[in-house]
Amino acid sequence: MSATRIRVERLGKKYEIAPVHRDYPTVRDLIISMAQAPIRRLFGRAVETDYPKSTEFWALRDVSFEVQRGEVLGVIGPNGAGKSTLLRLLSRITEPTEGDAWMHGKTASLLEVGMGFHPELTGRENVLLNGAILGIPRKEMLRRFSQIVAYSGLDRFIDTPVKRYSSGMYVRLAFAVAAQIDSEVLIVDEVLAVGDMEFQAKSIGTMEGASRSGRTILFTSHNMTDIRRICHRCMVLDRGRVQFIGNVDEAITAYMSDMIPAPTVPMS
Amino acid sequence: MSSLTAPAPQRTESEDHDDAPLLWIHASRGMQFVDIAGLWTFRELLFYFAWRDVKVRYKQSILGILWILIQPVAQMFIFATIFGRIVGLPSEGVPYASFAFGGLAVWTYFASTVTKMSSSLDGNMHLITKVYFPRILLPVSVMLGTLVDFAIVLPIVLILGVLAQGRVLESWLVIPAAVALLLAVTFGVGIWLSALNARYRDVMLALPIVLQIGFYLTPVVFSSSIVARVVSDEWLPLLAFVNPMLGVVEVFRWAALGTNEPQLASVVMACLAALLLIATGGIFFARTERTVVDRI
Repeated sequence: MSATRIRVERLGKKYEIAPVHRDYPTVRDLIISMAQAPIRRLFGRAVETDYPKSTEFWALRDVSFEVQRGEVLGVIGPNGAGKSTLLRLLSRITEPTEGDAWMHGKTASLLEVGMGFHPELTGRENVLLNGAILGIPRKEMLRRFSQIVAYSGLDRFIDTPVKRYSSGMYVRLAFAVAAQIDSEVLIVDEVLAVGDMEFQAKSIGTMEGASRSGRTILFTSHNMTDIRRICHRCMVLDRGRVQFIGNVDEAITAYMSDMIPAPTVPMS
Repeated sequence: MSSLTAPAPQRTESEDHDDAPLLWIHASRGMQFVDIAGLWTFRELLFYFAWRDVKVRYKQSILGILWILIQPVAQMFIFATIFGRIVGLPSEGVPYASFAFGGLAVWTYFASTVTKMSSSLDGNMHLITKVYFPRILLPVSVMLGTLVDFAIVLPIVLILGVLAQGRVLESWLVIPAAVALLLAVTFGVGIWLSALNARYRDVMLALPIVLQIGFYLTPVVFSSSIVARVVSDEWLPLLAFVNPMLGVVEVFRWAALGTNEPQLASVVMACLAALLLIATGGIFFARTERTVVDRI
């Protein structure tokens, strides 16, 4: 029996791009513009501000799709296509400007491994903190603690502050915690791009296992081998819109043909 | 071995047919109040944040947690020397050092907490751009973390009270109410500042100056009888409303040390100001929280 786990309808996110000269509004700008408002009203456009008006930018627009239970949907597209924005909206990190999305079932997001790791805290302390950030109950974390440490292979260093860890050790510990997520729906952003080949193989294996065990996964990557290996369907995003959604191979072909222009000048 | 590869939690048939979505993501409209219930739902994370703050503050320091005591005691000696000995300010019938320590205990909690709360959103940017939780957890966890400091200082204030009065005071029963008022004022001011600072960094830059002015507008190191000499009686309630810490310090010091009784007007005004700050701050924070990640 199929059941929809993620339903997205006409989702859109608009950003205001700050014009040049202005990184973010200061109180001074605000006071000046407030002071000018009555004058502007009286004299029409007589008083022009020095600053150009901010411009709109739709990072994501009119995006609709569904993900069924047990399905792995890959999201591919060039940088700036809106992949991360989509994942942020579905993870409730920021609100959409328009449209709706419905998440059925307990959802967890993994947009970065080692979210909230604090350099001054020890491995042990960070494991507990990170578990809480990922929404895993404390009791569960304490119960699984030795398992996590074994998985990371860092038992000798577990009471060392993570600022003294190598980047490989850091990622291994972080991923060991992330692998404890046990929600039905998983949103995963590019996290597998970090770490060495052995780590990547291990983490992609873990994702495969998660999908086989019936979890619903929304997954972005620039690695087409990974996409082919674990996704059932694939969506191509470009400039904030859905270009294609469906068969994985067709999606990759569509993406590649779009991205790699045919050589026009033969190489001599 | 990991949970990701364990079978997904099975749902029953009835749950599958029940198409009510667990979570609806959409652009929210209208006025909302900050997610107070979320503090309870996410209480484990709330405590972890507070625990992290306390742990990190004294890491790699030799004296560690002793610093909680060193800071207010050093301040007490500075003020006792300047205002107690050199200037010779009155201290409402208790030794000046105790008098100043009582005021400093409350003021320091307020000032250091709202300062930390004001940068709690942008200071945790790496977190709030990567994971969802009610953003109110961040400023509130700061309040809990600094409450540890206050809990260590409070017994010293009580000992000073016993030394000054020679007995245990009945007014100690009022201390929980005084602390509740302190927390309410701190919460109201702190959520306003944290939401404002996420939009305008000017807040963080102006705050030290404002707090220094506030320190001298609040009878921390001098008696409110001196304030009454400068400000006429009819203006006092207004001053107490604008600066709710005036009432908080008065009621706390009286309760803990047995100094002059607080004026009813300043305590009532502090309560009103706290309510107003929480009501408006709660709405403003909720409004900011929705898209804070885009602005920060």
